[in-house]
Parts: sequence; C-alpha cells; structure tokens
Amino acid sequence: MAEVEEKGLLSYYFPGERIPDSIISQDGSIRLGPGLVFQKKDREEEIVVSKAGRLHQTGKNAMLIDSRTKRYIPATNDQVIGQIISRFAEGYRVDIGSAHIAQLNALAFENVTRKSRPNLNVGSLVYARVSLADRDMEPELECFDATTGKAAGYGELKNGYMITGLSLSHCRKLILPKNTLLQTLGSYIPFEIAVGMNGRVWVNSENLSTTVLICTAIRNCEFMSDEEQIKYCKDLIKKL
Amino acid sequence: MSDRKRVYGPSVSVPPYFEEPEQPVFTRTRDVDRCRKIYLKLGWATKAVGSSYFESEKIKIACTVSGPRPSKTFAFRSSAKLNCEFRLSPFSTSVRQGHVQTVEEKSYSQMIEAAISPSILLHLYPKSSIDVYIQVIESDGALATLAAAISCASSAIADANIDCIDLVTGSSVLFNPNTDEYWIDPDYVDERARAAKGSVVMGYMASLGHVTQVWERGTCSPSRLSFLTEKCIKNAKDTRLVINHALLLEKSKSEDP
Repeated sequence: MAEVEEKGLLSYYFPGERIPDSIISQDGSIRLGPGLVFQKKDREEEIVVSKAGRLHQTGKNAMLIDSRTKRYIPATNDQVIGQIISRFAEGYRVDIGSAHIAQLNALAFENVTRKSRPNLNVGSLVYARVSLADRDMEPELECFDATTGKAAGYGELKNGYMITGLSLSHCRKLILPKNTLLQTLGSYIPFEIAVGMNGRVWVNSENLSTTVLICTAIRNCEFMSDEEQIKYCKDLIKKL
Repeated sequence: MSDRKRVYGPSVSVPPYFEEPEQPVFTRTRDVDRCRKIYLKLGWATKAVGSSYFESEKIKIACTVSGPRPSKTFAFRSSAKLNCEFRLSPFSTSVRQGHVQTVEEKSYSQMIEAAISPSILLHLYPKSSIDVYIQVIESDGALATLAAAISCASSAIADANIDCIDLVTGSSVLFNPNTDEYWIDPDYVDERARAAKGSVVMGYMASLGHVTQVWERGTCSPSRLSFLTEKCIKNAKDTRLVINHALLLEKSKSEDP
C-alpha cells in the first residue's frame, strides 16, 4: 500500500476532513475503502474522512483510511479465523469477532456431500473465507477456494493456539508474503500459522514452548521496525 | 432492663455543633473568554471497543463505547440505535448522591445522545446498537460537565473507529441576562456565586461547521444569543484541537517508526 505523500499535505486525517482534489485521480471512477464516505454538499461532490487514520492508496483509483482498529467489519473474500458457537440442521454459527454471528454451511467444504459432512464441535476453530458480507444480512463463510474448489488451507484448525485482540493493521502486515517477523521466525523454528483479517492468528508448532515463543513475538512486534523485529526474534530464540 | 448488647454513650454529652458553610465566593482567576486546560487520554480501557478519559481541572470523566453489536430487540432496524448512559459517581458532587440513576442523569443522557447522534453514520450499522457509557468521577459545575461529557463521548466514538462524519465538541457559557457579562466554561463557584440566570450549552462539529444541539436557558435577545453562540463555537474549536492531538497520539502508534 503506497502512502499518499504530497508537498505540504498531511497524510493523517481526522473525521470530517475533506480529501483534497489534488490527491484524487480525475480519470475514471474512484473506489473508496473503509474510512471514506462520498458526500454531496451544495451541488458539490466531495470525499469526507469518517475514521481517524492515515490515507493509503491501494491502487490507481482505490483509497482507504488505515487506522489501528480491533473491531472487524466483514468484507467479501476476507480470510478469517472463527470459533463455532452452535450447530444447526444445515450448518454452523461461527463467531468471527464482528457485530453479527456468521453462518457456515455444512456443505461449504471441499469434496463434501450430504452423507460425508465434517463433524465440527462447539468451540472448534475454522479458517474460512467470507463469501457474503452485506450490511443487511449475516455474513456467510466458505471453507474452500472459490476459483479452484479446493480447500487451499481452509478448514478446521486442529491443536495449536489462537491469539486474539490483535489490531487489524497488524494482521494485514502479517499476511503479506514478505513479512520480516514470520520469515525470521521461520528460519529458526518450523511452525504453521493462519492469519485472519479479523484480528486473530492461529499458531501451531512441534511443542508448546515454541508455540508460546511465536505468540509472544507476534504480540510484541506490532510497533517495531524490521531491524528491531529481527533482533527481538533472535533474542527470543536464544532463550529457548 | 437495659440492653446488654447496646453500647450507650456517656451520661453527660453535648450535641456536636457544625458551623454553617460559607456561601461560595467568586474566585475565578482566568479570563472570561478562557476555558480550563484539558487533558484527554484515549484507549485506556483495553476491554472496551473505544474509551476516553477527559480531565479539565476538577472535571474528571471516563467514557467507554461498546458496539456496534446485535440489537437486543428482534425488530429490524435499518440503522444502528445509539444508547447513552450518563452517570454521576456518588462522590462526584459536593452533595453525596445515591447509586440509582436520577431523573437529571437520564435527561443528561438524552441530551448527550441528541448532541452526538447527528455525527455518527448510523445507517452503516443496521440491526445494531452502539452503547456509550459516561461516568463522571468528579464534577465542577453542571454546564461544564455536560459540555465535557459531549466531547468525551465523541472522542471515545472516534477511538472505537465507528464511522462518523465529524467529531462533536461541547462548549458552555454562563451569562447575566441583565448585563453584558458572560463566562466561558463556568465552574461550580461561577454557577453559585454569580447572579447569572442564563446559560448556553452547545454541541458543535468543527470540520463541517455544523451545530448539532443548543440548550439555552434564560432571557436573551437574538443578537446576544448569536454573540454567545460565536463564543461557544470558538471554545469548541479549541477543544477539537485537543481531541485531534489525542487521536493522533493514539492512532499513530501502529505506524512504523
């Protein structure tokens, strides 16, 4: 995500402030991400900030406000970690940390028929993809890749430990392919990790002490630079 | 027969004598246009979605926000329901209060709700409810406490990352209907000592320049009210700068150094 930087322009915005026309690309339509709303005022069209945070441009015509939030609002195709809270005839009700409980169909798994349904108990963790996220309806989840129909890592998360309460911006950094923290830890310790865009991370490794170490590193490295993260991870591994 | 379990006082005793409390004397040292210095801390409650602590000399207010969460009622709502709960601690005022929410506190809750609801984009959260809990730890004048509670609640909502079109800041002014005297951000002594029967409390959105709510008490001409409103707006703009600074400190934590 490229941060918007222009001469004499602050990239940090507060609710109610307008996005200057100099930033907005005039050619084509603009996609507004979270934290930005479109308003018509006195026959003028303007983009107003609705959350405090830094302005980021994700593409040529896409903008969003990146703020340190812990409350998750479901969005289509987001990868989330959910906990099953109840079962019903056609599937499961899953807590994904949003305002409303999500629904997971019993047939929304790879190679599942009515006779070979997965048996998930209350309290089980699932790594799923948000297939439907409408503000007027409950979110719906799927445990397979929409394009290939394969599991692609989705499904029940067995064993391991789930970290909760992480900020969504931290999770977005962890899910990047070249994340310094996870690459550094991976070069010393073999482990499995599932990062949810809803502020939850699941970690599993060969023994409990390494799992605790990885969880500690993930929790504490949120505000560190890349160099500090590498140094911190090496110090932790020395203590093993 | 005397009760053996009761400890009687001495046979010769004198009832205690309490001196009558003196009437409050006006001791305002700051200028009539000056408001008190403000300290604002966001995110102090780790379990709440958003929280803020507001301190302005003797005024101390803690506010937490929870939600948006599923509404308790089963009726479909196209937009979120904002619930405000304003409570004074028993020890917050000069006269000790009970724990049960009074009629005055309920009316203040409705006033705060009316002041901050225009700023929140409630239509983005259907079937949900947003709960704002305001606890006054120490109060110093009803008007200033109400204005501070509005600012505190709005900053807690911003900390909770709930979409809002602007932040509402509260401002209060006390005035004398018979003279041209007025006092911005009046404290308890101002309210008691001055022969001022008029007051204005306002909620203001600084970025958009919109007034969300005005409560005016006392006889006042339109021109005078306009003048007092301008004073309130200026004070509200100053308060907004403090909220912006607190938001910047809290939200920029996640940025890489």
